[in-house]
Amino acid sequence: MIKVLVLSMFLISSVLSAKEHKETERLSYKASLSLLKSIHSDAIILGSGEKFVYVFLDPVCKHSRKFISLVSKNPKMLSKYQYGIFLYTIPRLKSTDVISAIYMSKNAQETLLEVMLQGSKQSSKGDQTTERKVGRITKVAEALDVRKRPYIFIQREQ
Amino acid sequence: MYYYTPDVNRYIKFILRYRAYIIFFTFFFTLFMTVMFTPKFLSSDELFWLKDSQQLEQTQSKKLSTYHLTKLTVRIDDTVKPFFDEEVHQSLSALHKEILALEGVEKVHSLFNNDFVENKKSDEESEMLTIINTGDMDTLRLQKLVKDLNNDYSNLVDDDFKTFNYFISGDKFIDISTLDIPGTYTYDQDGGAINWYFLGSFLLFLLLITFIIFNLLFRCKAAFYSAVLLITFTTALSFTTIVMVTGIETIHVSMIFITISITLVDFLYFYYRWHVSQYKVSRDNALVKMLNRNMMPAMWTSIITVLGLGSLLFIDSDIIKLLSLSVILASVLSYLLNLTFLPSFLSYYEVTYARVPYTKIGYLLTTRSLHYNKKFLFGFLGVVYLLLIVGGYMLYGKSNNFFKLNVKNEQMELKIPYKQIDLPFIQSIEKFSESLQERFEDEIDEVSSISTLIHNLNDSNSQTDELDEDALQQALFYIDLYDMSEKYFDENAVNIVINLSDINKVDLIEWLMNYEGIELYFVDNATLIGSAKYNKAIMLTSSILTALVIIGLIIGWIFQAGPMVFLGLTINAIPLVLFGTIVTILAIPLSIEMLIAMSISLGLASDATIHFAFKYFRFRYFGRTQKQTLAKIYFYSGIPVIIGSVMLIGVFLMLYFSQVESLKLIGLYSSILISLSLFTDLFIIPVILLLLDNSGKINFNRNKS
Repeated sequence: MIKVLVLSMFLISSVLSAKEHKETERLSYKASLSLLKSIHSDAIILGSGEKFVYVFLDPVCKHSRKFISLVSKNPKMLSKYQYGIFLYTIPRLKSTDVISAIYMSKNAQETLLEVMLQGSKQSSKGDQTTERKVGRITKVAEALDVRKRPYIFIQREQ
Repeated sequence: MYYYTPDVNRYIKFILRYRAYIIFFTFFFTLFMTVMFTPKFLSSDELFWLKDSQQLEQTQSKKLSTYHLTKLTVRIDDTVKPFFDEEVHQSLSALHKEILALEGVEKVHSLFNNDFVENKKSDEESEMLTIINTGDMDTLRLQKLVKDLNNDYSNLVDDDFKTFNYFISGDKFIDISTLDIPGTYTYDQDGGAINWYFLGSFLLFLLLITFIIFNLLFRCKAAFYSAVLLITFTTALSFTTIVMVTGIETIHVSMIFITISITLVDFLYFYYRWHVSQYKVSRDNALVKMLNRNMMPAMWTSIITVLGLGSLLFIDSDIIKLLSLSVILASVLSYLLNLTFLPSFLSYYEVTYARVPYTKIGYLLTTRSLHYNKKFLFGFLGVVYLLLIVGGYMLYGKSNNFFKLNVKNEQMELKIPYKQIDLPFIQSIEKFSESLQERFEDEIDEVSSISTLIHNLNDSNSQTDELDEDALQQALFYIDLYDMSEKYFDENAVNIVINLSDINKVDLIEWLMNYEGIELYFVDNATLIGSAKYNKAIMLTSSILTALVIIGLIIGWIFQAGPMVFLGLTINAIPLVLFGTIVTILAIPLSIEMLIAMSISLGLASDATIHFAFKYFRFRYFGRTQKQTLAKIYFYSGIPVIIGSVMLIGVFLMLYFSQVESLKLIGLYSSILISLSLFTDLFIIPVILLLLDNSGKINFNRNKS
């Protein structure tokens, strides 16, 4: 009986918390873009298209990997869009060191693709610059209420 | 006029003197025309309708390409596999790829290549909107998906996984003969090319039957040879003249049957008279009788055809021009050849057995007609005119529900041009889909468009809520990411696919043509043909009704009697009205075959009316009693009409059992219409003539001095 009660309470709290997430008010497009532009220099750039897409992803997350795989292997996706990629960890995946290793590498874009597409193992403790970069990204991600990886934001055409 | 007997003695002398030259000239002139103006024959009516399609013009003006949309239905019965397993799944999936690889194929829509948006919102931090292609699913998952979403796939697979549809879009007719298709299949087009092997075999068979029938009836080889030569010359000259005069080189193969039918019956009036006239008189006198008894009524039948159908030549439609020209030329050319070639050719023959069997039928019919039931006649005519009024109301009423085109499990595709895919544009498509589904409810299944895809993507995207501009951009991004844009839109226009469940497509086309909220274009040929038929339906039927009225008026003028207008109109209208009733009840779609059959019927009915009435007036003018007159008209006109009609009904019924769809239809429609015409000729014309005679409304002796 107690088990049933505990389980019921757990389910109810899950439902309520889920509803709570939904009700979180989103930032306006303008405010979101302004925040993203403020960390534009921290983005790893991929592609050369006219449309700009900001993407938050975790290099270890399987869906983020699928996303990068679909984008990088499709010439149309690279010529039509340009991607500003922010590495934003999913805590349970413990990918902080992998993110630091990518940011600290000489060619972040190349390393990112090696890690995400070829499964190259990279790990490094971040230096201050990297931590500051990750910190800035985290701050913006929280402000934007980024819960999923990959998370995409498409800049409207001017 | 009917009381005048032309003196043809000098003409016969001339014919007898130059008969060999006349025969050779006819032969070489026909050969020359055939070489110079050879027509091309097609068995599909698609080209004819599309030429007249305003919708096609509009579609082409927008530079939107059109294509053929055909359906391949594959049935896996128990002899192949009792149930849908991995092996069947793989072979059907491989079939999809094989079709896609065929030359000319642009798209294939089947259960084995369908994009499915996974609706998997969760609290997981790692999550991405996923689109799965059903072609990548394993057998169990695919079956589960179809069961869960049955409404979305009912046009592609039936509930028990036995019947599968492949909708094939191509820039031409797709030849599927090289495919390895599991189970049994149906494929709904014949490519428009003529099966000359079948047609040749059929014509040979036809010649054999004609030979046997003519020998049994007339016991004279002249009947068969002269009929074959006359029909060949008239047919060849009719179509070569059409090519020469109009420049239209492509002729529908079924139109050959217009000239064959009209020429055969016209020939029989002449030949029969020549044949039976040898019973008591010499063979030269038989030629005189053949001409002076038939040249006047036959001339009037040609004049009626020219005037009745001639006005239709001014209508800007190749179909109407070809149909009316075929009837007019067949009538005029067969008349000319009956006056020149036929006497020249027959002059070489002599009939030793001038009797014709079954002529007693004429006496039987005479007795029956003399004791006609007035109430029954009026009742029948009342019903015919009531049906004519109902038909007119259905045709000219608020909505055209005279012609139907019932389809089941089909698709149609529309294109909507755009400058930018933005929210208002998507909303306008959404509104269109809603209005469409509200109007047609169960008659249509899913309406698949970029709007439905965007809504599906947005519903499954945990990053977005309501469909706003940002959500739209995300959906469009995912469409690019999963490489689906080609299926739903191109540079200038978006595609809308309407899955038709069980619907009268004419209603749908009418609704789409009148929908004002969006600029839409038909791109699949079946729908373009449907819209062309819808647009032409009223005009075509009006043309035939106008021809009926003109024929009635001319008959009235020929016999100088107002009531004869009623006779001409009624006799020609009866087969068409009864046929119209049958096709409306059975919801048979309008087709060129139907119009050809109607043209044949009109040609034959007007011929019979003139021949019957002409002889009736003539014999009554010369003082014969009603009984004697009826016996004579049944003997001299009724018997040739019976022989000709029975032969044509037989020929057309044989065509019904052919494998060529177009010939099958012309066979069915023509045999029905000729049967109705024969019924009208034998049972209605004489009775109405008697009725008018008894009423005293016509004066046969008006011109007696």
